[in-house]
Amino acid sequence: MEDQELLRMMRQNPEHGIGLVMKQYAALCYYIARQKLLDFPPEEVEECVSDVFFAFYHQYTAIDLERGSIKGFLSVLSRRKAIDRWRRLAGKETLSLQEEIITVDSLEQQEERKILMDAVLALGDPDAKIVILKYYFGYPTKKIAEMFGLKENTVDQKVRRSLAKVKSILEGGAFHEG
Amino acid sequence: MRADWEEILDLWEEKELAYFLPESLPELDDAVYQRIEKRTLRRIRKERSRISRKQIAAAVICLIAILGIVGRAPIQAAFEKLFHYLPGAGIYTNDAENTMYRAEMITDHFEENGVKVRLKNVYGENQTVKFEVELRGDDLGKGILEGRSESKHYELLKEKYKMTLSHDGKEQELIDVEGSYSGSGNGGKYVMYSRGYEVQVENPAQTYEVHIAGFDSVLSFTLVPDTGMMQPENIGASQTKNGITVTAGAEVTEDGIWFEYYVLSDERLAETDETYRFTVITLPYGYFRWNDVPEAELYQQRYIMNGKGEMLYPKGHRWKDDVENGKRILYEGTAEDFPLTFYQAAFTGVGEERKTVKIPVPETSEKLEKNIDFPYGTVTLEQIQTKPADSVNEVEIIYRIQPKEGKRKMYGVFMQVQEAVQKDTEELTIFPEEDGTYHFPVKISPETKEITLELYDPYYWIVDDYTLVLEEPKESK
Repeated sequence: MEDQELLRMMRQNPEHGIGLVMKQYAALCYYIARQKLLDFPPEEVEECVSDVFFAFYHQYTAIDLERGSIKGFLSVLSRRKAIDRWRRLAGKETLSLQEEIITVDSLEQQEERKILMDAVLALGDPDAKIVILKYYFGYPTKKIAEMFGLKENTVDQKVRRSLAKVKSILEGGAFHEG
Repeated sequence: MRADWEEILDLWEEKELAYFLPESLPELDDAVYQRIEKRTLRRIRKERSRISRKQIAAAVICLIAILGIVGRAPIQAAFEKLFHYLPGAGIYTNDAENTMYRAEMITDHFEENGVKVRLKNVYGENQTVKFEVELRGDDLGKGILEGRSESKHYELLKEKYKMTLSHDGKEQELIDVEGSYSGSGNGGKYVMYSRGYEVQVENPAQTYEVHIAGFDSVLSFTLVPDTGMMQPENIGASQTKNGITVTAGAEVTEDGIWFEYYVLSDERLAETDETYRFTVITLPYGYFRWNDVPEAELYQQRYIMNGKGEMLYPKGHRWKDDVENGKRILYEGTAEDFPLTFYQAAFTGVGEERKTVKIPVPETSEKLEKNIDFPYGTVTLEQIQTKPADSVNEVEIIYRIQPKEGKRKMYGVFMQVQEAVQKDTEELTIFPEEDGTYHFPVKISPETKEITLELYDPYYWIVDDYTLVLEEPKESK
C-alpha cells in the first residue's frame, strides 16, 4: 500500500491504519532493532519494535512525504529506539527517550555523518548498499544474497572488505583502492 | 572522529538513509509479528480508552474537514433514527407522512474522455429530488489547478464540471448541498470528485437529465411515486437480532466486487458510521475478541471472507461510498469468490439517560456506596480520593459498572463534575483497571466541599454478532 494511502488511513482510522503500517513494516523495524540488540533476549527486540510503532502512532503527522517516506521515518525511529534500549540494558548512560525524531546536530556530528556517507558511497554499488543493509537494516546475509543474486560467501566477503575500507577512510581520512 | 563507525551510523537521518532504503522487505515469523502487534495495539487502546467530549467534537470536525464535505456530514448517519432510503433496494420507510419517489434509471453512468461518470443515491422525498454525481479519472483537475492554491481546488473543479438539471422543459444550474474530492498519491492529482444535490420541484414524478460541462453524454432518470416498505432483504442477505437489522449484498463488476451493507436500528448506535467509530472510540469488545478473530488483522468489527475462508481486501480507500446507514465498498475479487461471508461484531448502543449525584469531598479518601441505576447496568461509586496539588485539588472517583442480565450490557458512561475547574474533564472511560474498577479524575477548587457528578450517555453492548452469507452476486444493474 502506498505511503499516502497509509497516512490517509491513519488519519481517518488510526487503529486500522497502524495495523496496516505494522503489517507492511514490522519486519523492517524488527531487523533494524535486532541489529542493535543482538546481545539481548529476543523479547527486548519485540518490545523495542512495539515502542517504534507506538511512537509512530503519536508522530505520524510529522511525516512529510515530499521529503521522506514512512519507510525512512520508521527506519530511523527503529534505530533510535534500539539505541535507547541498548543503553538502558547495557547500563550505559541513559538518554531521555526522544518521542520525536528531532536531532540537534552539532557541527562535528554533521561533519562525521557526511564523511561516513562519502566513505560508504565511495564503495560503489552494490557494495555500499550491501554494507548498509547489513549494518543498519540488519538484513541476514541470505536475504542480501537473494536480493543481489550473489552467493552468501560473496556477500560476507564484500561486507568484510567494505567495512575495512570504510574504517580506513574514517581513520586515515583517505582510501586507496587496492 | 569517533573510533566506532557504527556510532556515526547511529546518527544518520532520513536524508542519509534515503539512498539505501531497501525495496525488498524481509519477512517476519508470524508468531513474533502477532506478539508485537498485540502488544502495540494494547498500548494504543489503553491510551485511547479515556476520551473526552472535546476530543470527539474535534475529531468530528477534523473528519469533515478531511473529507472535504460540505453540508451533510457522514456522522449524521450515525445518529439517524429514521431510515428512508436504501440504494439498491429502494425506499424503506414506515413514515407515512412523507411521499417518496424511487428512481428508474435511463442512463446512470457513462465513460467519456477517460472519465467515468456515475449517478447514484437518486430518490425523491416530497418536493425534493436528491441525487449524487460522481466522476472518476486519472487527473480530474488537469489544466485548471496548476499553480493554484489548494484552497481553490474544490471551487475550480466545480467550475470545470458545472452541472445543470433539465426537467419539465426547464434547465437550472445545480447548487450542491455536499461535495467531496480525493486525490491520489501521484503528485496531488484528483481521481474522484462527487457532488450531491437537493432540488426543489413542484412535481417530482417526471424525467430528469443531468448535463455536465465538457461531456456530450447525459445522465437521466425518471422518478415514480413509491409506497415504500420494500424490504432490505432485496439487497442480498439480512439478519435481524435485538431490533437491529444488518443487510448486505454484493455485485460483481469489471472493477471488482461492490459490497454494500446497511444497519437499521431505532437505537442510537455509536458505531453506525465506521469512520466515526474507529477514529473516536476504541471498542473493548473487539479487544476481548482478539483471539477469536485472528484473521481480522485489521481488528475490524466487520470483515468479509470468500468461499475459501480468505479475507477480502478493499481495492483502495477511494473506492468507498458513505451511504445513509451504511457503506458501499469495492473489494478485490470476482464471482469465483462467492459465497461471501460477512461478519459484523456486536454494536454499541448509547442511552439517553442522565443521572446526577452529589458527593461530599473528603480531605483524603472516603468510601462511597452509591448505586446509580441505568437500564442496562448499575454504576457503583466505591471511593473518592482527594490529593492537594498546585492551587487545585485533584479528585478521583473510583467506580464499577455491573451490567444487567440480558442482551444489552452497559460498559461505559460519560461523566462530568459541574464544579470542575477545567470543563473538559468530561470523559468516557471504557477500559477498566486490572481490578475491574474505573477511575475518573477531576480537578476542583480547594474551597469546593461537595461536587455534583453527572453521569450520562451510557454505553452498552448489544451483544449478538451477525454473520451473513451471500451465496451469489446480485445481478449487475
